[in-house]
Amino acid sequence: MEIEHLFSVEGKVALITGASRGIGKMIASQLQENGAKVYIASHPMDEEENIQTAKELQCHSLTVDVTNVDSIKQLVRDLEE
Amino acid sequence: MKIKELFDIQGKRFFITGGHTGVGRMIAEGIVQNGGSVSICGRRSALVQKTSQDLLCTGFTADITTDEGIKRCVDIVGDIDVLINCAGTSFAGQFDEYSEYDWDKTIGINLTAPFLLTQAFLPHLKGTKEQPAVIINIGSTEAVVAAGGSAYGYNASKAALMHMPFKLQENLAKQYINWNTLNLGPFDTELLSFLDQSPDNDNSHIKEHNPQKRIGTKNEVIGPIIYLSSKAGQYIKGRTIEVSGGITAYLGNYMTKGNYLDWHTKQWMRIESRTYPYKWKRAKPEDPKGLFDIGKDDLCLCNSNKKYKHCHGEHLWK
Repeated sequence: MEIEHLFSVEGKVALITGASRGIGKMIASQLQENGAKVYIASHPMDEEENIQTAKELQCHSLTVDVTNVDSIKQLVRDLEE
Repeated sequence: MKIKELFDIQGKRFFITGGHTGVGRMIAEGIVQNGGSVSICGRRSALVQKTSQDLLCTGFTADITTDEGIKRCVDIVGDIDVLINCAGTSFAGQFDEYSEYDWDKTIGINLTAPFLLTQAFLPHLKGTKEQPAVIINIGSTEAVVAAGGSAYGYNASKAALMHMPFKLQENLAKQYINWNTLNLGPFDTELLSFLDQSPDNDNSHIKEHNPQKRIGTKNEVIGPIIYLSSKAGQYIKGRTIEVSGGITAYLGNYMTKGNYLDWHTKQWMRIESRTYPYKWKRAKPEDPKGLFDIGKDDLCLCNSNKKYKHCHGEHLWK
């Protein structure tokens, strides 16, 4: 199988928490560049920075508090929409 | 970076020991398909010849358990970017009958040969800071569990193989050489078919005990090899990656019965029971002498891209 197919992420949906900066942002940017549909989720407190990053990478911004079960459930609902 | 560039192996030179059969052949095929140049070596000349013709790669016979064999590899292959220590063997037997010969034979091919080959190829592995040279050992899940029957030498050799880069990485890093190990689980190979004891020889017994309920496919070994050989994996140094469908995480003791080759009688033996005392009987009537065939020593088949000074044998492609 050729490399483009073997390692393809095209059309895959990726959710990355903590991607408004740092390694999360690097991952988001590479997945986006290679054709995945990328969602980045940050703590509501960092939402502004997250929206900024999402704009920059042309991906989608969501919020989640990963220490809160209700917030995680809400994230799943948001993603399903 | 685009996937194509990140995982690019075009123009890289690979040398794969045991590339004529099994997982080695799968790897060789994937590399050739993606633009790498491949040399393979093996002991069985007919298989080496067939694989090099099928894949249009360079193939030659060599016994890497001898000094001459290793020298022959270096002389023929020369400079490379990736060395894949894939040649391997296994023998299982009762502990009280497991001889020095059984032990030495297994350790010789699985462990000593990768060590000496790495040593011999050091001047020929030209890594740079931006593009390190790569050595990949083909290890086994048997390095961390003792599942496949009573293959004492095999288990010990694979465990040692996994440990080898720990210390050597220190020296190799200075030369920009990455040395990693892939611990493979069950793939559809000749070695696996020895272990299979399903009535219709379809590996169902082995599949059944894998969390994925299947054995590995060609792409699933090519992927990790390309990953470790390209920009994508070049920050991985001296480590082991397990490619097994999760078998060791799920269940250690997944093979209870199997067929094994007896080095002394050169006959197939079948373990009927793993509970001591093991019950043995002759498994297959055919003579496996071919497995011990070192082949015509001067066999060397060249593809069209490169001329080798040591090619005395047939030249199939002009």
